[in-house]
Amino acid sequence: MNIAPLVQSDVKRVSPYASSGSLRPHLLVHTAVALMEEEIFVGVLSFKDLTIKNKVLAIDCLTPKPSIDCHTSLETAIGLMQEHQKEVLPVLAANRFVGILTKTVLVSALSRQGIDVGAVFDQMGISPSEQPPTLQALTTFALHQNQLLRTVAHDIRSPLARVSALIELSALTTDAAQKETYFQLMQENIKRTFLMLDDLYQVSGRGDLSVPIKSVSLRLSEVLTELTAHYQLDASQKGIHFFWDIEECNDTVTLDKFQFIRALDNLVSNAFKFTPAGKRVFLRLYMDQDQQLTVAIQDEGIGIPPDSLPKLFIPFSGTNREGTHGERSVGLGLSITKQILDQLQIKITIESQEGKGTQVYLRMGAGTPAYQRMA
Amino acid sequence: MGKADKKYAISLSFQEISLPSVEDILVLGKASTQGKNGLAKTFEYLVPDTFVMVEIDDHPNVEAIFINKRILSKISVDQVQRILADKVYPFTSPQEILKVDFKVVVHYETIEID
Repeated sequence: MNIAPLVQSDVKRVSPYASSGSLRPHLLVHTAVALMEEEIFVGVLSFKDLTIKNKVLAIDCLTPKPSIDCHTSLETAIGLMQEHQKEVLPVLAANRFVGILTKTVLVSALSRQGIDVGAVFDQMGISPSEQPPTLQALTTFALHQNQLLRTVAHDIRSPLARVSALIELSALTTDAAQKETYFQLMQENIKRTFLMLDDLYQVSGRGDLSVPIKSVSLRLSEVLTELTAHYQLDASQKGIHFFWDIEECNDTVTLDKFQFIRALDNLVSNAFKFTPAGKRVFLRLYMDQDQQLTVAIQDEGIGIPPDSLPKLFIPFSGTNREGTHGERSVGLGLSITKQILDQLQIKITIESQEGKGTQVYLRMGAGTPAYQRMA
Repeated sequence: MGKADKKYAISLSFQEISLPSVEDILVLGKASTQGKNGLAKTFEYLVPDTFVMVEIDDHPNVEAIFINKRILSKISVDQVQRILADKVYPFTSPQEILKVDFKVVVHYETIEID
């Protein structure tokens, strides 16, 4: 059998000199785009290419991919994909671009044909660790991808909501300095969204949602102070009173700043979500009596039912509820947060009383990798 | 504060520039956000048939160089590359794009005539 029936021809065609930023949203959803210069095929660009190359123009992000034609056999095609480590190949006919072939579609077709994919690779001398997944593995992978999609939806909501609010606020003010502040905040939120998407792309090929950690030494008080402007904005949108108390203490830590912010964002946005207008939310940094550097998020919200407390970190456990203003809840936020904090080796404790509020504590004890006491 | 209360101080100056600002050689780092194809196209649009792109495969930081053809009418690409590899590449980081001033003066010490 050849690959002809598996070729995907409805591929978006774009100029090779299109900006990679403009293609990023499309490539998050679709496998690839075809770069065409005046009807001449230049190459097929995937999201992986964008992430690896990270250049301004699409053409500079291209990585070489062997082309195939419609008469290519399934076995040859999968061999080429493995050899060149590509998940998509361009399909040409008489040097004209006709479409793409993706690895997922190809492996699925091989399995449906009853072809022993493992045996094909053995014949090619490809070791089991280098072989593409079986149909069963693909099904598991699809479930994982589905979970990942939900994670994306969950995590990018906060920065996008902020950008939306900032656009409205900047339209309402005539003060140039104030506008400039809003634009800076917008830029930070957009940058964080892109970083998040890049991270999520990196974890998309793996079997779990662990994120790559790039730790640096930093002052936690500075990170929190930086974030208060964002949180103030979130609070004002909902009519909540937001207070912060960042104590002068020995707060130098070794952390992945971006991942820590991602976890803290989830916790603070939960506090805002479940606190009615007119009530208070507190963010504090202090050294507790056991000499543990502690970040506390405390709210006067609706609290958590006692039977939900043990299940908070389990994804889709059914503990998710609507926010006090009808905000949607996916049921993933705390499980993502816990996973990130575990990777950062930060201990999280949640205490709550229904009708009174919730207290979340992030503790970094002396001697843990996150917290390194400075002499 | 009303609009009439505001005063503006404006600082203004201008000078002629030419595009592209590179006259002799440009060294492109491997991790620069601009890529060689985009830059080649820019040169082609702004100063057609003026620069030659040379891809550098054997250096960890440098992706390509763009050399003004005027230089190559005096010395070879290999000679230019050797000079840059010795004097410029050691100072080039992967994220950078460097503009190199590279003037060639041909000087004969003795000219014998019949």
